[in-house]
Amino acid sequence: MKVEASIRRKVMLVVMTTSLLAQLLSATALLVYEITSYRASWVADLETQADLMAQASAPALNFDDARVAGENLALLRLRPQIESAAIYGARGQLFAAYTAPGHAPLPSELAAEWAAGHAGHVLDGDRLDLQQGIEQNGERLGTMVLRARYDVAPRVRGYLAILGAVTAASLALAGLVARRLQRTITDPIVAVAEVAREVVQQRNYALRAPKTSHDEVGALVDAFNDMLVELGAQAAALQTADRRKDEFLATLAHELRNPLAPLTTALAILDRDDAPPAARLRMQAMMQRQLQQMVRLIDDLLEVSRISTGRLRLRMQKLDLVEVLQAAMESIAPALVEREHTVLTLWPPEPIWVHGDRERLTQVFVNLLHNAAKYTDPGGRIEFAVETEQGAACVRVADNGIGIDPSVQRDVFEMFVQVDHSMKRGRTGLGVGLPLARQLVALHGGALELDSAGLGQGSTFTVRLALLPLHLADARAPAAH
Amino acid sequence: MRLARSPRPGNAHPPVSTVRRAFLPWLVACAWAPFGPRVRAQAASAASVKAAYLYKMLAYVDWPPAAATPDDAPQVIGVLGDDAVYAELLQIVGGRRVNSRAVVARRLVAGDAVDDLHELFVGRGASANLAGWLPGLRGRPVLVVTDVPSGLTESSVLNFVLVDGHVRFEASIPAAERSGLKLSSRLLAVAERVVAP
Repeated sequence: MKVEASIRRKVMLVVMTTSLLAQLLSATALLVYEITSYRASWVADLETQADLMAQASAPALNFDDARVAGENLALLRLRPQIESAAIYGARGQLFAAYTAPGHAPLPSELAAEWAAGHAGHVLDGDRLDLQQGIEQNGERLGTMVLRARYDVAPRVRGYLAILGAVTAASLALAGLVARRLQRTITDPIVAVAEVAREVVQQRNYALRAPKTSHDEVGALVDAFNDMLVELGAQAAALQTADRRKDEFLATLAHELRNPLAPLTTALAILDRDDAPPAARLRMQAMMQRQLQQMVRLIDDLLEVSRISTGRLRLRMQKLDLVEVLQAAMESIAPALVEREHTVLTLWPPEPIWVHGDRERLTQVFVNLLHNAAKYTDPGGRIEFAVETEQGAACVRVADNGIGIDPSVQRDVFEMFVQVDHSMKRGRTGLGVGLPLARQLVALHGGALELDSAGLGQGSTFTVRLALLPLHLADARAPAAH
Repeated sequence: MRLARSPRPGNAHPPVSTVRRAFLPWLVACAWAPFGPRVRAQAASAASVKAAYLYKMLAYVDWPPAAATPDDAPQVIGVLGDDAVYAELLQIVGGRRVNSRAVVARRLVAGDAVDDLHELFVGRGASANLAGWLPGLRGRPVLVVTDVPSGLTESSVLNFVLVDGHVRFEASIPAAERSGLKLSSRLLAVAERVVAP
């Protein structure tokens, strides 16, 4: 749960930092605005005060009653911010003055300057000097002067306290909200982690993480589930491959063991001195067939090994395909005879020139013929034909055997696959013949195709190889690898 | 000479007592120093102050609508029995306006018509005949200002008095009401004494 705590902390940090910054920014703006407007309204307020005082003092100036003017000014004690005030006559002489307790009176050297001035104010730091002309009927009677202390600190302190409280409250609120919101992020992630753990523990790739949203986390869940699908498929493929290898081993042992019994029997018969010559010949022929079968089997295995490790080298040369077919036919003839198949060969009298490895192509057709012989009931009919069409040579091996179900036609070219698991009547094999044939044909740049209408309908395998161009037909092609 | 050349009200202030104006800038005192014999200066400035007050009082009195003459008609201040004040007043009102109306000073002698007067100053020279004047003014919207040291007479609205060497004035609200005049509270605020109804 360390990871969860970390994400929670990060989400909280982001929310809190954002909130705090926004709060500080707005608080600063508010404070600046408030101070500015407060100062402006404070100045306006004092100007009003001075104006009122000037109006009220006009009769005192008119009738030279400094006592009344002094009484008027004394009312300013109600405004503690005003430190001192004075009324000057039209010639700048001091008429009346007021000084709040504990403050210095207005400096007299400024009197002339103020008396000559007009309405206006000077803001110097936190001190405001404000003057207001006293006029009546267009005549200047004198000047009203105020000096006040602009004491903004308590107001700022009050504002800071309020803003601080608001900031703290909003941060607390943001924290609460973030605490709820972050669950919507962390919960699905935790769920994914939980599913991943179950998958590992149970090896169950059918499990899926629940998708609760369509955002980035939803995309993560989707990707995770897709990965599970892929993992499941790979695990299934590995299991299948594993099973095939097991079956292959069993089949290989069986295939290698099968000929040993007749060989042992034949050796025993040959060992006897009284064995009739005819029986000896028969035994020798049988031993020959069994050995050939084993050699072919092991050759196939070696070829598969070479192909899979990339060590196979083709000895390419110009060759007559019909000769290759004849060699294959001769090689497989004993097996065909044994199963009493009728083979129909349709070959042209003239050579068909292709570019290829004689031994490997022979191996391909032997495998196809062996396959046809094996999966066709005794006395079957096998057609072994070749024809040229559209610049390609098409070799067709067709039988009227048990056929192949369309659903598994792709699988017959998979390594170690035995479509027929019945093992009846000795129709067994390593399952390498057809895959090997297809890979060898592919190495020649050709194609091996299967056509079967279904079980009991027979099978047709077709090998397509490129013809050598006619003008090269008589030339000797260079050997290639 | 100097007073005649600068007859502005602000200049007409008498020297102030050092007790009440202890903090007055010394330059003001210096400006007043070369004003000849103190007694003469005081007498001259007293007439000057009274004239200035007579003029300024116009701004603090409301005349009844019935007495309102056309807007451009001047406000007339009649002066009776005090030529010094009249002379000062002539200097003051020249070219000046109060409430957007011109102000005219008129020297009166016994028997003159008082119909178009707004304000009448009865100087000490005429105070003896005051009893003969006042009944004719009774009920008329004329601001009667007297200069009787003993105090307000029956019909005078305002009366100059001398307090500590300063020209002050006292006011009678009942007299003003009888004349149909309304005295501004701001005027009353600076009055030395106010007779309430």
